[in-house]
Amino acid sequence: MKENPQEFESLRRLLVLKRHEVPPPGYFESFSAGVVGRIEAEDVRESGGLLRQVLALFRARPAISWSFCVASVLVLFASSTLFDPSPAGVQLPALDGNFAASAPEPTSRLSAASLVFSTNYQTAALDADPATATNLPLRDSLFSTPFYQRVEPINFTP
Amino acid sequence: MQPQLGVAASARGAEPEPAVTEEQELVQRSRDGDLAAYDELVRRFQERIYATIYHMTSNHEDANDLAQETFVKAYRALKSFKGDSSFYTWVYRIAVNKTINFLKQRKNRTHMSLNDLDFNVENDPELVALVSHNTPRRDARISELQEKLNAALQKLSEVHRMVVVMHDVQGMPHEEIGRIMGCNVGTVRSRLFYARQQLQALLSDYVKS
Repeated sequence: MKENPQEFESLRRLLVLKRHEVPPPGYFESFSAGVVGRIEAEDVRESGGLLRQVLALFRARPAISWSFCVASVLVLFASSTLFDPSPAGVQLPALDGNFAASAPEPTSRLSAASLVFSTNYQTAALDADPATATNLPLRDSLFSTPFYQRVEPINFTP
Repeated sequence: MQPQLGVAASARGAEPEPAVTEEQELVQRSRDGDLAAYDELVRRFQERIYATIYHMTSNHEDANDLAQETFVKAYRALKSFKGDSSFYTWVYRIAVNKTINFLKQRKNRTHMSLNDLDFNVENDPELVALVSHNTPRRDARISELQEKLNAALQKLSEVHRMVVVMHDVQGMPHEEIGRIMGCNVGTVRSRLFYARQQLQALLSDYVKS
C-alpha cells in the first residue's frame, strides 16, 4: 500500500492531542505497588488466612493501613482517658496487726503506690503477733511480689 | 505521560545491550518469585501499557483495571515466557489481547472517562497549528477536540483502533506492531491506512483532507 506522507498530516497532528491526556498526578507512583499487592492478595486467597489477607491489603493500599493505625491510636488514647487504670486498692495480707489500715492516708495516687510497694511486709508480719503465729520465711511469687504465708499450729490428737 | 517507545527494548543487535540483559535478569528473578524484581519490571513498562489501554478504552478506570490485570496475568504466566521476544513485546501482547476481549464484551456501552490534558498542550506546535490563538475559549476548543477525537476513535473496530493508537499516538514502528499483534507488516500498513481514512471522514470538521 502506497502512503502519501501529506495525506493524513492534519489527522496526525490532531492525534498528537492524545499524547497530552495524562492520568491523575501521582498515579504511576503507586501503580506497581497495586500490582504487587494484587498478586500477594491472590496468593493469600489461595492459601487462606484472614490475618495475611489483612496484611496484604495493608501493603496494597497504604491509605487503609494508615487509617487503621490512626484509628488504633485514637482508641487507645480514648480508653486511657475514659477509664481510670489505677486499681481500687491493693488488699495487703496481714496477720492480726492491721498495718494497712494504720498506714497514713495517701495524699495522691503516686504517694499511695509508693507507700504500698515500699512497705516491708516481712517485718510487719513478723512483728504482728510473734507469740501465736509461726511465720515461715517469705517466698517470692511469680511476679516477684513478696508473698506472705501464715501457718498456725494444729492439734492432731483426738 | 511519555508515550515514546524506547528503542532499546525492541532492538536486536549482535550483543545484548545492558538494558536487555538487566531486563532478562529481572525476568528470571521474577520467575523465581522475587516480587521486588517484578515491581521493577512493572515500573519500566507501566506507562506505555497503561497509555495503550487508555487510548483504546477512552476510560481511565477501565484502563487502570486492565493494566493491573495485564501485569498480574503476566506474572502468573512468567513460567511460560520462553524469551523468544522481549519481555516488553510479550507483556504488550497480553495487554492487547486482554483489551480487545474486554472491548468486545463492552460493546455498545461505551462510557468515556477521559484524563485531563497536561499543561504542555498549550505549547505543542502541532496543536497550536490546529487551534487558533485568537479564539477566546481556546481551552474549551481543545477539550471539545479531545472529546470528538476520542468519540471517533471509539467508532473504529478494535484492531484498527489498536494500530492507530500504537503507530500514530505512541509512535511504534510497523514491525513492532506486527510482532505484538501477530500479523505481518503489510497487514499493519493496510489496517493503518483504512483506520486513518475512517478517522478523517469522522473528523472532517476538524481536519483538512
